[in-house]
Amino acid sequence: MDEEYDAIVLGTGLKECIISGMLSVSGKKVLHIDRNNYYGGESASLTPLEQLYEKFHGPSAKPQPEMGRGRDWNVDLIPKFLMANGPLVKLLIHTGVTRYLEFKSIEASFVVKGGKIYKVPADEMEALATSLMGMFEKRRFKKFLVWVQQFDENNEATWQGLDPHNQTMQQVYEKFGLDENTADFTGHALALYRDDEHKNQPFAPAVEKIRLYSDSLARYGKSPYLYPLYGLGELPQGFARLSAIYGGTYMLDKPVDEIVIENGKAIGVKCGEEIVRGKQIYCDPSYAKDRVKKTGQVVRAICLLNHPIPNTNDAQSCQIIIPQKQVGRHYDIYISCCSNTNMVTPKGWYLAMVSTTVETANPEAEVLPGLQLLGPIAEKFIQISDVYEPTDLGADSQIFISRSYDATTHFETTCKDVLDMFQRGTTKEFDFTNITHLSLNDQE
Amino acid sequence: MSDHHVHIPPPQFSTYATVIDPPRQVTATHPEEMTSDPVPPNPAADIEEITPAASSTPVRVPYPTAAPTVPPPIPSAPEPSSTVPKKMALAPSSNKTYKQKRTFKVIIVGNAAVGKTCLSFRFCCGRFPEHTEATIGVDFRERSCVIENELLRVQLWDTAGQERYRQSIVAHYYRNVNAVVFVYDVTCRESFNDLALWIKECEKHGLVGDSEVPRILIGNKCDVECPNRVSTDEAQMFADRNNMALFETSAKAASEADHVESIFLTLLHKLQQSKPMHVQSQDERQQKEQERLILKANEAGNVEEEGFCC
Repeated sequence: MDEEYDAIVLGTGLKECIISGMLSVSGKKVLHIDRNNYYGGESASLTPLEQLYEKFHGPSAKPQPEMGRGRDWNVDLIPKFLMANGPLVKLLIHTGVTRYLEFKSIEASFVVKGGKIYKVPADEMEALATSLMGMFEKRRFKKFLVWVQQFDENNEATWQGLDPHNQTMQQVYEKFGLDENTADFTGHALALYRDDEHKNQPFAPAVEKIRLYSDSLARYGKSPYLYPLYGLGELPQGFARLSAIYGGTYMLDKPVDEIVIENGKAIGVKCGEEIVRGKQIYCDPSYAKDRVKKTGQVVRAICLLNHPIPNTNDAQSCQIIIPQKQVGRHYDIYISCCSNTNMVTPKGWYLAMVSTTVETANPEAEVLPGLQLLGPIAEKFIQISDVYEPTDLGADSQIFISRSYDATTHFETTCKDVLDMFQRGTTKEFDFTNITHLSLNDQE
Repeated sequence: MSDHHVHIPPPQFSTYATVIDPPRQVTATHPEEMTSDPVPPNPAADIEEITPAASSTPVRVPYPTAAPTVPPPIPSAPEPSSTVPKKMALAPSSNKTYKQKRTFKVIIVGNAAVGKTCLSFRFCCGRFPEHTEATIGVDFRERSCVIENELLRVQLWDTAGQERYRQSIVAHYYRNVNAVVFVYDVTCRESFNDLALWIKECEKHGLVGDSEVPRILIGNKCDVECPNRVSTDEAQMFADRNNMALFETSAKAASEADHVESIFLTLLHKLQQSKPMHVQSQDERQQKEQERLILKANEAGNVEEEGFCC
């Protein structure tokens, strides 16, 4: 280990693994270390089930026998879905990492209004039948969606009198005569905003997000969300293999004591007695605690159920959004549910996760509105994680730190952070359109 | 501007199936089969015969001279062999349609530097790799073969060096596997001793010994002189205990080339006879695809049109 690496990556969370893959394929010599003996760090899927019990309740805690074979469980610590037309899917396709993964559509998406669960309409038929809004409102909403589809920020002809630079989303809702309920539904269940800030911002980004939703929906039908078989932990591992086949070196179960600094610049990492030299360090916040600041907390409740979530038409997988206004909060509450159909539980078992951004001193109580929708819960694990962001952007220190995973249930912010880190580290922009394709028809 | 952008090619896989060769009638590559009936009419019934036999009396394919390797070409289909320098046995013919196509995933495990990559290279490309440094950018090697008018594609997956430090091979490596090849270096005792750990690692991922997934053991580098090499008897006992067929060979020595070939063809034969439900046939895959989504590269075509740049 007396060689010098171009980059040492610490932690095998999704962001670090994508970065590692990007660096390796661009010819950099990468060493990738994790202190755990499994891949994924915070974004791992714990398996077997015993591992989850041990993490939360200590080594003597054991799952109930009726919970089946421990190995059949793959429990995500951070619930997220992929938007079918989103940047992560594009990244997966362009790097060929899709070869290692299989996906399934999430069956349905729901939104809570007035304490009741409504299906987010997935097609025109459902839109006509939904009781989410009245007859006339539906017509106005349809007109709005048509406008969203053809809106182009660079083509004034498509603006229809709305100015994306000076007008807010609220003004757009008003122009189309949409009532508060519809605005709520649009902003939270379609554009996936977690709070109402966007209403007072220029509207172009929100329109983009609604379009991402409908484009993603158009791709595979039932819902705009995809989820990998065997859990999200497959994603970092897919990128880790990509990195490895391009020469990246992997060491799991390796404690890292500190990042070694000389004259304000990182020169390597210290593991026990040895120092491994590297020109750059990429890591998650837990490996550079003195260079990050806490910006908030996320509370996540992992619930094991032996039945589907009530009132979801027995969906084997789904997402439920409780918009903030419905429960008098600032941030939305998200519920995600997966099951045996996604290879994350044994037959007959369901895995539901309730998560939100912490607003009070009693985070456990904040997820209660979500827990109440789940019916009887066989086992519950509450996790409160601090959210960090780097205070050091790495220009001098050459330490590039990712942000913690936020409470969103999709990967838009994750990809943005990865691309941002890559640009800070290599001073190059990552351009997907430059990638040429080999034929990957190995599945034929 | 554009030269500032980083170019990321997707990982490649090498395929070697270009040599056109009329499919021959395959008799047997497996010594056990040589003694039993030549072409089993019913593969499902036959597997009962083959598997226990291979486990109780592990097969060692003898050295080249006596090796029941690939049967010679059928005289009625003469081939101007002088024009084709190196021919891959059982290569598919381009002008023929096959009754079935199946793809098998075979993984190779074992300690670093035991010659896993060389073995897969030898099998898929027919020669020893010229450059011995770590392979860059190859995901798996593939070879197509025709047995009993069926096109079989064998993908040999490499560990990508993730075996080097502790057990850091990703979980999906062990998924949907149709056969496991364990490799040790006969001149390196440690690589032999660690086989137990590799078996354990496979079992952790559900690849257990008594399952229908065939496992074979290869002692590599048998051409290298070494005072305290792992003895064949000892390896044989280990293989017996673990329900595996043992082979000793060398991926490097040219004299062993046919031997490596015959080992893998033995494995191929086992795979060919394995029950189709364990392997994705074309129909199964289509059926599965309707419900599971395999994101394909051709879909990226649309993506590119849309353009995506951050």
